Amino acid sequence: MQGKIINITRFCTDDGPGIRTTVFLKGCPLRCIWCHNPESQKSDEEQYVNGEIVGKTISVQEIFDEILKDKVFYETSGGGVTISGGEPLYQPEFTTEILRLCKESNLHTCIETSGFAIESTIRKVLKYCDLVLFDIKETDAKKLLEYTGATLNIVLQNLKIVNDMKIPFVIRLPIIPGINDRNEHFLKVKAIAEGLVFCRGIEIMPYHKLGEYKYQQLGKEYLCRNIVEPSKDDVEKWKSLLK
Amino acid sequence: MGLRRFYENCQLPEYTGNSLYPSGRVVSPNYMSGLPVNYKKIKAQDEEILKLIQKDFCCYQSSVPEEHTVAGNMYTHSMPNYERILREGFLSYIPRIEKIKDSDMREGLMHLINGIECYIKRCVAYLESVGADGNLISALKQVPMHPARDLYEAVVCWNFVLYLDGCDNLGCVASGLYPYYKGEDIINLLRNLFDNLDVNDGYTMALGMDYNPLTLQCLEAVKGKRRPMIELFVDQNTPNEIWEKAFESIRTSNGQPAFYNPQVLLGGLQKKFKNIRDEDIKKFCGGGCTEAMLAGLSNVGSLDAGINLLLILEKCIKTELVIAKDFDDFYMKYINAVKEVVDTVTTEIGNSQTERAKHNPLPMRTLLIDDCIDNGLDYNNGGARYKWSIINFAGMINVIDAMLVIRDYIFENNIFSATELIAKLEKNDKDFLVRLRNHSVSFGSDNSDANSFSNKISTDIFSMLDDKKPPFGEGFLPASIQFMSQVKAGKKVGATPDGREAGAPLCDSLAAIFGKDTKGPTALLNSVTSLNLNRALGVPVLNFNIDPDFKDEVLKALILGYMKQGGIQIQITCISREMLEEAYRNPEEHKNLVVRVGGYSEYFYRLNDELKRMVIERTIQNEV
Repeated sequence: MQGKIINITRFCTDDGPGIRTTVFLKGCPLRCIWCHNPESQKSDEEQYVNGEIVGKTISVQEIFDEILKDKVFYETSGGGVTISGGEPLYQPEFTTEILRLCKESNLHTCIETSGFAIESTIRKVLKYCDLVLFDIKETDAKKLLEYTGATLNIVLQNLKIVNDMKIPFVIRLPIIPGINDRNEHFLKVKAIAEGLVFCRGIEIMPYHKLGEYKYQQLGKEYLCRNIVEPSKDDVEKWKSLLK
Repeated sequence: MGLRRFYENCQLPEYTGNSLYPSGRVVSPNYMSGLPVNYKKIKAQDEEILKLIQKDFCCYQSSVPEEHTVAGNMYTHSMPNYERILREGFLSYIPRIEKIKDSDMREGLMHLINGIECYIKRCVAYLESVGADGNLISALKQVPMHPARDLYEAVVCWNFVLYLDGCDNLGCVASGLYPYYKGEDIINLLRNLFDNLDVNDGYTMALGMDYNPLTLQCLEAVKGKRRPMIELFVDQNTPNEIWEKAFESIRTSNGQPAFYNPQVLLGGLQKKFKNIRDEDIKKFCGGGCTEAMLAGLSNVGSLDAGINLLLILEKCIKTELVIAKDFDDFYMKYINAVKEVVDTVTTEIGNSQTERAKHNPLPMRTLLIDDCIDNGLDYNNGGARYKWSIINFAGMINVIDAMLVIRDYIFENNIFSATELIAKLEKNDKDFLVRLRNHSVSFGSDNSDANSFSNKISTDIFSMLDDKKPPFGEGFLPASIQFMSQVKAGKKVGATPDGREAGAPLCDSLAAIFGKDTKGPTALLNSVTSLNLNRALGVPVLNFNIDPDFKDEVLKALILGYMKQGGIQIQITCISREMLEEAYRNPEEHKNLVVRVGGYSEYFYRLNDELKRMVIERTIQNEV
């Protein structure tokens, strides 16, 4: 089986516990205006202005061979494999097959998802998942649709499915000043988390501009140009709202 | 007698109020020649006498070919048996010395003991005359002539013996002092001891698996210090408090400690040298740049020679590449050329050892290192309990990358001919060299093809020493250790197919060629463990840079993962590139900045320009 990826990155330490290999899939149903990986949105290969080709088609086995190279470091760190993107649920068969092979080799598995997919898709993928990093980008349905294209009901329903399937998950909040840094948003997320026993925490992902150059390279307009990166104090204040 | 007279008459070190004495920079007898000789003065008085001295006593010359002395030329570090002196005191050595049959050796060592005793009495009298600390005076009235009675006396003794041996290595301090430990905090005392080693450009200290509270105190005391270079043995059972303290020290940007694999290194040494007793292997302390030795018990040639593998390859390319039938044929010709050098070098080490035994007795080391007295043999004449010879293999990684270019570009894909390659290398064609450097199959990025070749060539080369035995010793051990020697060794070698420019330094020990470890730290560590490290117990050194923001659990997992795959030693520099660049621009403002380079640690400002740039360019392994 083959799928589309941007790259495979070894020695990731922020995509789940321990030392991990993260597979960044290419293709995402959302179009978050702040997205720092715009090259991951379209499924097809793209070319940067500098000539570099972004994305490639690769087999599950090739990915798995690369993943296995760091098996010893997963063991010594309690790490494993994370499928990110793009959106892992956007290539469900491919994602499931990678995760299945990993589970057969007793590797810890994790997906990082926006949770925007039909129920049967997420159920299939979760079968081989030890941990989910679940992005909640917005808790106001209108704003979510406006800024990302996603439907809140579906996202929250899928979050509940993760919990019902007894899979530990961490809620991740991309916080974009002026867009979703409202107190009510943090409080709503806190309330959602409190009702879900498999929630292992809430992490804030503060807005940054590291992806801006990629918009230039793709010839796309960067709509968040005027948004200022939050200060450490801002982030601490947000964190306090979640306590 | 010469040493006795030296100690009876030498100028005493100044007392500076330090809690240890001697302290500071002190000119000691040269432990490699045994006696300080003022050649200039003798030459001025009588040139004939100088010739006689050189002929009969001090002027043994190594006959190892000069081009294969990278990082060492019959050079021998060592460390005294501190523990025995603490336990027994020098006076108890006298009955053992009296049993020596060789009258010259017996009388010589008696003179030496008498000289040391006289020296200590002179020291005590001097300290009393300047009103020095009473505890220090009292301790020196006891040690090292009599056994130490408490921890303070034990440290005073350790320091004094260190100076007797020329401030070379500290050995196993934590385990050696532990029998005297009753809960004292001696961190400041240890700091003084470490400073004394540092100011005299001494080297190492080992912290073995027998952790005790003094292990933690040593790790605390070394924070921010260049020396000693601490060798910390770790495995999956190492307590968290040891890891935490070790990482706290590393965060002070001192490169301390380096981490060692007990299972592969100590287990491997006992497998190689079957006579090593279980209680003795715990005394492992790599001397100098970390050459494998057993504290107080061994005479290790460290390093006796350093074979410049890239120089041999350069010669082979010129003479064999054009006529080679295929890559395998060229590879075998290269391996045979290395074998020839190994034969010559090991023979000459043997000849040099024999000459050294005749002309270069070392009474001080004979006194300080077991079992010279009980065997009735001088240190250089086979007296030590354990003896082996370490040979450095320099440029291994350059050779791997160069061979892969030759294989893929010339023989497999016919991208250019051997003649073209030779012509462009001779011209030092920089554009061409960049192209070679960009070859994707190379060491450092965990390429399975490159790893498989690395394993083969390292096995072929390291195993060349398997069946060889020096006249004084159980065998040879391969090592991969540089300090600054990669710069000098590189100057003799023209441009090479790994993309290295003419005269550029060789690789640093086993680290990837700069810029080639592009897939992160796990990939680099996997590449290194693809080498047949368990055949290079001499030790194989890996310099590893990590960003100061590292997480403890991540670095611990990297170290344990490396060791699980056979990694033997890893030393870590934890300084951001920005900080190094700043120190490069303003060296006077960063005199305390310590980096790991080759097999040791050094103040950054002391490195020459080439080495400074090498350290800056070394890939810093950032967390993603």
